[in-house]
Amino acid sequence: MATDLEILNRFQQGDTEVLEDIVRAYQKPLYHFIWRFVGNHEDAADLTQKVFLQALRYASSFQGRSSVKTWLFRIAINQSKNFLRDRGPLMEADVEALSHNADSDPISRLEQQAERRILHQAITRLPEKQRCSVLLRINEEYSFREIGRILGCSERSAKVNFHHGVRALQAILGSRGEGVER
Amino acid sequence: MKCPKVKKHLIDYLEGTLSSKKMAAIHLHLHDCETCAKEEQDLSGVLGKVRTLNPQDPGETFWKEFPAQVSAKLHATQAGETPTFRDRFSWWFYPMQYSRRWLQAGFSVFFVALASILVFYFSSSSQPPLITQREDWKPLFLAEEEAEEILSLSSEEILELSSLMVSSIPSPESLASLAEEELTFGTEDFIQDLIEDLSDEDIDALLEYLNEEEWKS
Repeated sequence: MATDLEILNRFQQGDTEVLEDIVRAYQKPLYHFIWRFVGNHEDAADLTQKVFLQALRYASSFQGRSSVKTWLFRIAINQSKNFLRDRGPLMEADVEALSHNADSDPISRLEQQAERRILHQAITRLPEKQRCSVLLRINEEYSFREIGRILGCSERSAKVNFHHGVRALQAILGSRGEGVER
Repeated sequence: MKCPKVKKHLIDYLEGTLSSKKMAAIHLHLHDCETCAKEEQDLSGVLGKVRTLNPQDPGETFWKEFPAQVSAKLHATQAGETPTFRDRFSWWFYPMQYSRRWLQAGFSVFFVALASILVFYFSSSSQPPLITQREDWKPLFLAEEEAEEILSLSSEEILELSSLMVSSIPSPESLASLAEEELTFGTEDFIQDLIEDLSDEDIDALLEYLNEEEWKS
């Protein structure tokens, strides 16, 4: 089984057959991560595509010091940051298509949607490093060392950002009067 | 364990990353302290909510077609789409991804600067050495002992002595005039004696002045 680095090397040497293998391996985690930044399917799909295009176009810059996944997430953060900067602050209407329990009734589903919109907006209000640390730690289950590599900071700094992020979310949600249930 | 310390470690406790001893201590504290237990519930709720913040899956069809879309877009781009300003200067916009290129540029600048400094240093130090540093230097018309004595003098003393010597050495003009006079009125012996007393440099200067090739013989 070829490693990520071997696959990238083959791609650089002109073997375009491996391109789709790389995309297939990382498309879902990248899409989910970007979606949590931008809040809607169209922008998330578009940005995920851009991440792969940029990574593959500049594959020669990958040195193999981190994993390909870490490298792709770093590009995804840059792309999402540029996108949000160009687009401006997230509007409530932008948050759509949140996952929900299929068996819940329409009223509780609406309540869930509203609650998650508030949570998503609270996340987008966090400073960038705190937001990335929280999402990478909770949703992607990265270690603090890996988060540090992605964000270009130390392991200790990644952990501090994560703690501050969680505390900030608790404060934002608390000040909105949202009862956070276990 | 006291409340401030428990609150400090609550997130790590919820993640399960503390030592078993600390986990047990916090667990006991939460059992007895209502305030900390409420805090723990709040934080647990936040982590749980963030964990469930997932988009609705776009469907298997989307995921099946996505790699082909990326591939087509990449080939279209490589086939001749004009790269954007950001694409063209991506190494500037994403320095972390292009650290190798930045490192190479840094080394290039360093080596160019080093080469410039070395060239400047050697060009400035290639001036002829001082007269007292020249081992092959021998004052004309002086014996070996006198020459060594001169070499031990200071620069100022050598300059003063040189000016005295120059004024006492016959010039090529005066030598030529003398030789011409002897050619007209004197003997060949006098000329022979005169040439033997002259150094090679003085003979060359004399020949150049007279511009007569026959004197070389």
